Amino acid sequence: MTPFLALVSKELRALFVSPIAYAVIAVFLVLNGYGFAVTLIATKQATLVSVFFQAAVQLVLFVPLVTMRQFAEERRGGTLELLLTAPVRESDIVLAKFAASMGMLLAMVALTLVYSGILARFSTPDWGPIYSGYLGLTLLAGALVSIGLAVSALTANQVVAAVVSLGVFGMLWAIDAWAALLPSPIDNWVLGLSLLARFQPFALGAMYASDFGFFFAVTLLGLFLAVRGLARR
Amino acid sequence: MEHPELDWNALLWAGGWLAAVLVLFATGLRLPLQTGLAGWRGRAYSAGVILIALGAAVLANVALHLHDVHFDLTREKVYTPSGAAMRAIDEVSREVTVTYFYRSQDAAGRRARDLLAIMARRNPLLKVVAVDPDRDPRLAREKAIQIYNAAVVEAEGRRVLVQGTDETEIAIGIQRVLRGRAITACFLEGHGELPMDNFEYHTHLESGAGHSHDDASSQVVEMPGHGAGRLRRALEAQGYEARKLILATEGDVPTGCTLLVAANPRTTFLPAESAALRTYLRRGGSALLLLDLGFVLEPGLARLVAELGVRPEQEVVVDPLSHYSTNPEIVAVTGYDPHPVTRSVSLTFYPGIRPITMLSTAGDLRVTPLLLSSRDSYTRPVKPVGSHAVEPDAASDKDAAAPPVPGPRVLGVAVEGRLDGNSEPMRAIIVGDSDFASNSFFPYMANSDLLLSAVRWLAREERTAAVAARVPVPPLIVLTGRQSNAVFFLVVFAMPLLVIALGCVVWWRRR
Repeated sequence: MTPFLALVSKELRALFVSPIAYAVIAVFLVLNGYGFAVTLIATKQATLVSVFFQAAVQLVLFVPLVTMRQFAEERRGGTLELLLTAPVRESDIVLAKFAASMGMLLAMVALTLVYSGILARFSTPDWGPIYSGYLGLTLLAGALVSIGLAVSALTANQVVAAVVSLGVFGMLWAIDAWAALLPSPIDNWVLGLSLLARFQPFALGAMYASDFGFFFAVTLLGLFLAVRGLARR
Repeated sequence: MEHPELDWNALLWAGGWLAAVLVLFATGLRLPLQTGLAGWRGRAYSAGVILIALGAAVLANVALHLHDVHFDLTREKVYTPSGAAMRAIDEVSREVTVTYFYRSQDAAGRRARDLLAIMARRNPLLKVVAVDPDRDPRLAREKAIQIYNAAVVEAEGRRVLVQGTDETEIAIGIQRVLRGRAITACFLEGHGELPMDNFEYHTHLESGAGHSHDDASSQVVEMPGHGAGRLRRALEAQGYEARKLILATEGDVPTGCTLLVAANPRTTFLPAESAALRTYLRRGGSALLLLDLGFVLEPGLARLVAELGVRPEQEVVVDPLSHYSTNPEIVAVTGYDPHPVTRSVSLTFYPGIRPITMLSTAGDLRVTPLLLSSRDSYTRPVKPVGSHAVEPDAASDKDAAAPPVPGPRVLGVAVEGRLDGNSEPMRAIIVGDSDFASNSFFPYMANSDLLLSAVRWLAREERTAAVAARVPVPPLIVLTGRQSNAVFFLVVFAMPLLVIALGCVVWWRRR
């Protein structure tokens, strides 16, 4: 096993032996399941659009709980120094934590594939928006996790990491509401930062390369900043 | 429906972009974390690296945005605006704001909102604000909007209102508001027409007051208290300009007149005026001729109208089957043959309308009946405006005792083509009534829709191809009560409990 894979395995174990992962997944499933079932029974429409929007909001709320401890706890417990002196690159450490966090979040999102199965069992859903919706959730999760890791890399306090991450996510989620108040062309620039505006086309089944690129670029930028954050030894 | 092709060049660009960004990222990761620089130099190095990374991310996004690709994964391509709409958006060169009013519960309205968002992303000069007036009545009041599915298009102090959920119509509205040339409707005056600056109207309460729009009005030279001010206002709301035109003093129809409106002339034209109208149509002009009961056509005008393929009769249509209120002389039209003018028009009605006889025309002219009365309708003769008759009218001498022959009558026509080989293509709409366009009847039923649609067509602003409304309708799923309960139990209780159970097992084993 390569050092990177060993690190990923270690991080995954660390995540899945803590009760936080199961609590987060269970609450996520309860909220999404309720939304899915009620919408399905009320509207009788074989679509997951509302589920995708709910899931996206929940990612904004839950990702800080997953990323807050990644570096902050290691920094506080003194294990970060040990990790940094091991024969692995800083980027490997960050990427391993990113892969582990994404693994947990994707497992959480993957459980909602049951909903697609239910739709397929009783109807013939339009699969295009379902594919793009899951792709959108994956990209959104990647962007959020990388930002969360960058914040976690800058502080030794889990709570501070969670609150700051939540603040950043909340601001990026709702920033499109502010855009309407700003003059042109600043409003367009601000709108371009909105996670909601960028995610919406994926949920509807109408994607843009620029939205894909935005999430991808934010993910890479977050990971890069997390690596630079490790410089604060 | 025509849709834009997938842009393979942009797709290749996106692939190249992805590779470039990954290379940049990999390069960035290789930068040393610790440089050995102490104090402010070390901090400046770190800050510089972060600023460069931020700059690279911003530039990468701008680069991709300039070569964006849109993928519509829906089965019926419901989130792909028509090619015509996208081309119109590409041509937008100045800032335009579209405020779209829709109901959140209306699927067609939601789709229009989403398509407008897609169009806005196509061109940063297009600003789109979507408003549910039930949730934000302030903006609806501000823009004087009282209907759902309406787009207020504004640019450079001009404003156009577009009704409907069709993105192509809204794109046409955008073109219209940005159009350099003004579209001017010239209201003909000088023959007792409905004045365009008169906003008076009658309430038309059923009574024995004697006020009438049917046969009893056919001998009246002037109808006081009537105007076409509401029609003019509606045209101005659409971004058109309106002006008066007195042909007798002008001598010719000015080149600035996009279309001519003759609404209820009561006194006969001068031969020179008829000649001026012919010259205008030969130049490729457009005319809306609302020729009411009793109006007598000057021979030159009668010849011109005959060349257009019609002859208004000195009769009134009585429709016992399809009429408005209790008066069979207020003919109601509920169905139309396909034509751009009547595509989205519902019930219209015509108080005292004369039938139009279709004549043969020269080869290039296309004459289309727009309005037809019901199969039970019949006609009876009316007298022309007596003191202004210039020639005896055969219709008025008909034997009034002759039994009426029921059958559909043509009430209005659209004419398109060249008057002769040397002329430009013209358009004309001729209707045997004008009351429906007056302030008293313009706002009721779909009368205003018909008139605005007619003016749009005459101004050559109509859509050439019908676009079917495509509303996203997700496939339905029908569950029995038992199945609903099973689904609810599975997703709300069983799955989360399974995860919690798994967590407990892990915790127990670790303990």
